[in-house]
This record gives sequence, C-alpha cells and structure tokens, in this order.
Amino acid sequence: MRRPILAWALVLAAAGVQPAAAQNEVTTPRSYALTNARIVVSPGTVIEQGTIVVREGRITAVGANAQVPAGVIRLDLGGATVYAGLIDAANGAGLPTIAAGGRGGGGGGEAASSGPPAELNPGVNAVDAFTPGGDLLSNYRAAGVTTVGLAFSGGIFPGRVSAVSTRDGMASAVVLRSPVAQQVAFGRKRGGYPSTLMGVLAYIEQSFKDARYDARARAAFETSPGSSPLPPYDAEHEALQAAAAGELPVWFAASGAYDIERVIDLAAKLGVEDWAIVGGQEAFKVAQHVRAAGKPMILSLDFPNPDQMTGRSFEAHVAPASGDDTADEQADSAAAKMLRGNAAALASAGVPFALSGMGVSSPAEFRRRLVTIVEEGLSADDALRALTVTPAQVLGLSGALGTIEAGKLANLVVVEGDLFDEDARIAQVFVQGEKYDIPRQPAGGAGRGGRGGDAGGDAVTAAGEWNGSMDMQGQAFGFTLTITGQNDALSATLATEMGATTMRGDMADGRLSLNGLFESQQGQIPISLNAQVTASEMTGTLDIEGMGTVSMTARRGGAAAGRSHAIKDGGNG
Amino acid sequence: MRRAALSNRIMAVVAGATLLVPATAGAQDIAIRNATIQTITNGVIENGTIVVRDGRIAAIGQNVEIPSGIQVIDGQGMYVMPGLIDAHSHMAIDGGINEGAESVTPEVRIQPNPDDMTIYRALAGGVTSANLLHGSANTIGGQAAIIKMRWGSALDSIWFEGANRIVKFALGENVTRASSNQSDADRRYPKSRMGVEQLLRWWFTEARNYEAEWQAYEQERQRNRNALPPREDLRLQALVDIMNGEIKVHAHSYRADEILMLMRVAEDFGFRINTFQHVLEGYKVADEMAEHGAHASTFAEMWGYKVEANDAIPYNMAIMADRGVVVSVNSDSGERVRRLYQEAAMGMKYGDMSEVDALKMVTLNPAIQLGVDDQVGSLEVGKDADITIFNGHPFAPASRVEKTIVDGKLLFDRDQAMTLEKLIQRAVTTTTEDAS
Repeated sequence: MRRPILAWALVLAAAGVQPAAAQNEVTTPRSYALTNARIVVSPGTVIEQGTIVVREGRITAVGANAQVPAGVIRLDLGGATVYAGLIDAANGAGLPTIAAGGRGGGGGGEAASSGPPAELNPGVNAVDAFTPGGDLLSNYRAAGVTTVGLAFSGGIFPGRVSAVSTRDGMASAVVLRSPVAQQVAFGRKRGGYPSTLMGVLAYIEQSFKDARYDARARAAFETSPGSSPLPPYDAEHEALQAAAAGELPVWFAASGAYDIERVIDLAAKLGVEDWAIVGGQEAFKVAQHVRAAGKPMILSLDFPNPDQMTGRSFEAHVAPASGDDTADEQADSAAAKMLRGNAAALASAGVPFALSGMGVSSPAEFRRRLVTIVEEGLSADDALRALTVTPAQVLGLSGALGTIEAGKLANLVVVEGDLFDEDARIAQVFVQGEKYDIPRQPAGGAGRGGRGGDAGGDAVTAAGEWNGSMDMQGQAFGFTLTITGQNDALSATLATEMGATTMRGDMADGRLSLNGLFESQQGQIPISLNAQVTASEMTGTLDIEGMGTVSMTARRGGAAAGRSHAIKDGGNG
Repeated sequence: MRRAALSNRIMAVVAGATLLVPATAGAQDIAIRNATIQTITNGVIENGTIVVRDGRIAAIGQNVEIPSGIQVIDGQGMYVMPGLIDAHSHMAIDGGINEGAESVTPEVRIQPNPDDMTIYRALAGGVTSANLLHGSANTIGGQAAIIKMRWGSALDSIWFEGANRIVKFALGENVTRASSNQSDADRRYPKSRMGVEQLLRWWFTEARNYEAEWQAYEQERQRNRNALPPREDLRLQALVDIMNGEIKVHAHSYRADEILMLMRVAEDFGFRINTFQHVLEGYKVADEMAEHGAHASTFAEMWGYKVEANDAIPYNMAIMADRGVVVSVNSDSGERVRRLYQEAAMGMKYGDMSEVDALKMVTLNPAIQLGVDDQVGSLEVGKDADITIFNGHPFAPASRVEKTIVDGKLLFDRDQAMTLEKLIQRAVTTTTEDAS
C-alpha cells in the first residue's frame, strides 16, 4: 500500500512542485498577519474589521485589535472577507472508482486488479489509495476547499475515510486524520454473492456479526489458548472490528429516499451508534425520519436526474412524454428544484448536515452548486456551517478546524465579496498556514476554469436524442439514447427492446463516457458506453458485463423516441 | 376547485399529478351505499351499505346508518368486493429479484419499491395486497415482502403488518437451469432434480446441527457464564425458523413427483409446505397435498411454456379445491395483476366451481396463504377496509374497476384518473401543436 503515496509524490514532482515543499518541516515563513480583514469567525459571528495572526501553520490571534507581532509578514486585505477554510466532507476524486458496485454516483473505471476485490476492501484507508492527478489540489484550493474527506464511491465495504489538507506535500504532512470512518455502501459484488440489494443488506449484517464473533473468539484464544480453538483469520472481518465495536464511525452511502430509510433500519440492526449518511440526495423526502435518527447527513451536491426522482412514477409513466415536451420539462424542472432545495429543506427540518462534492465533476462545479443551493433557500450561515463547523465535527476535527479561532489550523479563505456570490473572487487560500494566491479566472464567473480542457465549453454537446444500433454477433440491434445535462455531468437513458437503462457520465474533448446498470431478471448488469462524438453522430463501443464489447454507432435523432412504456413482467418463474 | 384556479395548463398537469394521491388519501372514514356487496363469507347483500371508520369496516348490511359528515360513494349499479390479493408477484421490487449467485439464500429479504408504477396499475385492477416473492433461480430463495398497495407511501408503511413471514423455495427446471447458465467460475450446485432434493436435505441437516450447537451453548452457559457463544449465522438461523414454522414455505413447483418429494423432505425435518406455487400438476397429487396441509396458488389456463409445464389442465384449480386444498389464482406478472378477477372466473368455466368459490381464489384464499385472513379477504365488521368497487359483476367481460380503497383510503378512482390522464394528454397535444 506504499505505492500510491509514491505515485502521489511523482505526480507532485511532475507538476513542478519544489522538492523543498515536499519536506515535512516548514520551509516558507508561514507567519502572517492578515490585517484590514472582514472576519467571519464562525457562521453568524463577524468581526467587521480585524486582524488574524498566523504562525507556524496555526492561528495565534484573532480580533478587531489583535496585536501584530514582530517578524511576521503583514498582508493588508483591503476589506476582503476571510472565512474558515471550506471542507468538502466527502469526495472520491483521486481515488480508484469501484466499477460494478456503485449505486448513485461514481461508476466507471477499473479498480486495482490485485489484492482483494475493491468492493470488499474494508481495511484500506482512502489516503493510501489517493493519487491526486493533474490540478486536483490546486482546483480544490481555487474553490476555497482546504480540507477534504477522502471517501470511496461504490462497493460494499470499499474502505475507510481519510481527512486530508489540500496543501501540496507528502501524504505524511497532509493527512489530518485517518481512518475517520468505515464506509458501507449498497453496491454489488462482481461475480458471486451478494449480487442484489437484498443480498447486500444481509451480507453487511452478517459481516458485522462475524467481525464481533471473530474478535470474541480471538480474545478467548488469547486468554486461554489451551481450551479455546484458534479462530480462522479473515482480513475483511478483522478490518470491520473497529466499526463493529463502536470505535470507528460508520458512513453509509445512500442517495434515494428508500435507501436512506434502509440505512436507518440497517444501522439499528447492526447495533452501531456513531454513523452518518453520505449522499443523501433525497433526504428531504424523508426528513422527519432522518431527524428522528439524530445522525448527521453528508449531503452530496451531485443532483440526481429529476426524471428518476422517487415519487415521479406517475408523471413519468402516465404522461406520454417525449424528450422535448414542455409539460415534461416543467415537471422535470419542478423536481430538479426540489432536489436542489434538499439542503434548505433539511436545514428547516433541523437535520445537521455537512456538504460534499462526491460525484460532482470538479471543485469549481462544487462551488457553483454552493451558490445554487443558497439560491434555493439555504441561508448563507447554514451553508457556511455545512462547509466548516459541521464537517469538522463529522471528520472528528472540530478542535482543529471549522472556525477562525486562536489555536486552530490556519485554514482560511480570502474572498473579495460574499462567498456565496458566484462573481465574488476567491483571492487567496491558506492551508495549514501555507499561502496560495489564486490566479484570476478567465471571464465567465468565479467557478469557471476549474477543469481546463472543456471549461470554455466543447463546441459539441452530448445532450440530445440519439438513434443508433449496436452490432451483436453480426446482428444489428436498435437503441435510442437520450442524453441530458452539461458535458461535465451527463445523465442518459439507453432504451432498447430489453428495457431502459439509466446512465451517467461526461464528455471531454468529444470523448463520451457513460456508465449504468441494466436491470435484468438475473440482476444488475453493468454497461458502459464509450464513443467519439461529432455534431451529428457518435461511434464507439458498448461494454456489457458478461457479454463483452460490441461496436455501436448512433446519429442525432429528430423525432423524440419517448420514454419506455415497457411493463415489467415477473415471468412465470 | 383548486384545479379551476390554475389557468396555466402546465401547472394543472403538474399539480394534478402531485395532488392525486394526497387529495384522496387523507380521510380513513368513508361509506358506500346502494351497492351489491359480495362479502365472500356472508353472502351477497343487495342495496347494501358499508361504513368505514378509521380504516376498518365499522358496519355492513342493508339497514346501516351512515354517520353524518363522512364521504359517501353512491354504489348504484356497482359490485363491491373485498380488495383482491395476488399471492405471487414480482412487481415493485427494488434492486434485484434473484440472489442467484448461490442456490440457498433464505437470509435475504425482498426489498419493495413503494414508488413503482405497477402498484398503481394493480390498484386499477382492484388488487390491494400482494406477495412479492424472490425469483425461482434458487433452491431456497429469499424471504418475501407482503405489501399493501399503498402507492407512494414511505418504505416502512408499504409492508402488510401481521402477515406471515414467507420464504420462497423452487424446484425443477428454473433452479437447475440457473445453475447451468453460470460461467465456469461461478457454476453452482445443483444441476439436476436429484441434486435439488439432496441440497435441501444437506442444508436442513446443517440447520439442525446449528440449532443443536446453540442449545448446547445455552446449557453450557448455565454452568459457565463466560462460555463462548457459537457464530451467529443468518442463513442457518432462517432455516431453523423454517423448521420451527416461524417462516412459511411457498414453493415454486410443477411436477407431481417433485411436489411429493418436497412434502416428504419437509415432513422428515418436521415442517410443512404452506403453499405450492404454480403447481400445474397439483391435480395429480391433490389428496396428498390436502393431507400434508399444503395450499396451492396456480395459473388459470397458462401452461406449455416449458417441458415441466406441459402436463397441465385447466381443471387443476377446481380439482384441487374439490379435494380440500385451499386454492388461489395468481398473476406472477405486473400486467396480469390488472385482471386477476378474470383469471378467477375460469374456475367456473373449467370444473364448475361455485361463484363464491371462484371469487375466493383472489380474496380469502390468498389471504389464508399469506396469513392475513383475519385482516382481509372478506367484507366483515372489524376487518381492514380494503375494498374494490366494480361497475358490474367482476366475471362479466366488460366490467372494470371503478374505485379501489386501501385502509379506508381511496387510492384509485377511475373518474379522477381519467380526468388527470386527459389533462396531461391535452397539455401534451396542445404543446405539440404549438410547436408545429
């Protein structure tokens, strides 16, 4: 497990990071006085004009009249606002994607090919699998994010959460806490049991029982080896023991309303007390249940496809809707508004939550979505709390992060304007006292530019109706592909005579990539589509697990194909 | 009233769709008067009245007073029945029907999806409860979800409280085929009918050992408080629960020989098969089934879709019923669930079942098989107000369901449904015209 850290170091080296920065000890002064600042100490507590003193990576003084000691670099902020560094409580960027298992979010990509299957790897700490490619860390900083909860997406026991700083440096210097939590998700095992949702629920319950049993059996053996049998060693159960014993919190992944309810049920069955839900995109639908459970939500801003929102089956099936139908779009937009209003609804219901960029295409897009959820009714104070104080708590770091107070780590964001105004510029970010000046963005608003290549927008968009055919052993099978969304976050429905499959993915440089799970009688079959897209057509392949790769072509369609009205028939067994 | 205020046609569609359930689902007090009432257990009441209070039937008869202030449905010309029950369904299931990687998985339990559109379709066919079963890929599949058609409800309120715990077994071709279809690495046992029997005996023997291990521990604990308890195994515990009768067996079956085999295996391990599903050759072993205490849930006239389904006759239902087996007819389909009552009608055509016996096959008898006959399946004071209102006798080909009530809540109303569908249709048509 040393290799990813090495890889990380190489990436940093390739990115031109000075070797000195990779050393653990301080090599830059890291002592500043930020004067003439508007200081948002914590949500709702503001010092209109004051000074923050930062020494050796920590905040040493804050106040309207804080003394500036000798020997620090004085920075006049000219009235800019300083917030505590933002925390993205759960993000999977830079971590291997767990291919088959994902329910909601993630998907695609291949997991490491050696070692235990990625979907059942509870012992791995996210930081040990973290390889922040390209500009990931600087993109986080450009969005004001100074701390990230590294969390896997997909799988069943995909690993453990680690909290890291977004400063450049070796893993040893940026890991704030690891492990933070044991991750549990309702994915599937590739090949073998459990292959269904019901199987996964039973599997998780059995695994926690086994973890406790193994611990007891081993203790008995160690106490009286003469009379107790040597228990078999099982790495998976061993790794789950801390969570089963209540020594490590459990983070369950759940997006839809029913999965959230299943988690609440399952947590009670497992007998775990300290837990949270990651995702929670439909938590507003079950807000009272969530509130009664009394656990924090780690809300992803990866808004689901409104067409798939729980509760929309009537409109989606009774209305003979087509892709460009106005009534349908109106209903979609009403649903989309509800989904964007998730955080606001939970705030009104009194549910504590942190915010997460899990599944969101980039930190820049994460910041744009912060603006969106505030527009949908979340108060700026509640939004700030969900980006600072609450995530610091769920990461177990509230002593070190979350507010601008003496003694805490010097994680700060300097904003020219209001954080939740899209046009406000993030000028500087301090991560553990390291100062990073954020370059001015090209025209197009605060969030733009995070993704490099396609930030200016591809000339070609993937969205639209496509009519195509795939070649199955010499036979052509027709399909329609309905794609919605922006190139960096696409939703799609692949409809064949076998039924419809919901897919997600993105397109960059004309290269389209979509992943989904086809619901067959035998269970879910992962499908991925990769194609080169031009204005009028796409050419590529479809990978259907268990069936191999087939070639496909499609042309942009005129007439809408409409939604699938297929009635599911259970078959006569 | 609210609809009239919405001049914007699009708003009407959106609001209509979201209003549909809440607008009708509030009150649990309702009365139906002037109707022909088929009680199933106490004959037919002409010009009868049913009063529902708090979701249960409070009064039923010809001279029943309707309390003031509750919603009244005029049943003139209507035929009122207990809500229909489908004893075999795979509709409205979330996340997979077959946990097919292994052949014995009784620890898993079907996960319902209350938002599934087939629930609304079932309501439109007068069906108010269903037995959502695991598929037939496994010798011992998972536990069932018995649901009421509370469409769009919260997940925890879709379950039919008080119903049996049911597990699905499967025999014959589907199991052995599922074993053969796997890739080499995943190929599983059994591949033959003899393997199915052996596997059943092997697992129940394991379960007996497991139970004995726990009993030994309980005794040991009397002497030694620090004794190490055995490993808890959800799979073996489910099998123990089956042997102790706490989980009832519904067994997918076709051939007479395998039906006999399973009854013998069960008897050897001290339990009974509650219901044989499909059971197309049940007519050959109806006496043995009656003696064992097994019920039957079958198709009316569907067979020949595979070799083991060839030796079937449409008189199967009537013959089994005649020999004392409790028979239901099921849909096994999100589509046939809309016309389950027409399947029941075939009991009268083939084998001269009485009208009420035929109707029992979609009401009281499936209720018995699901362990909910004390709550539903007939119209009696104190039972749940699960009521279906037809515009004529359900066996008349042109009859259709007008209203369906679950727990006293009107969850399907053809008047409202049609209005809504027209509304949406109009909005779509108008928009299309605008665009062209």
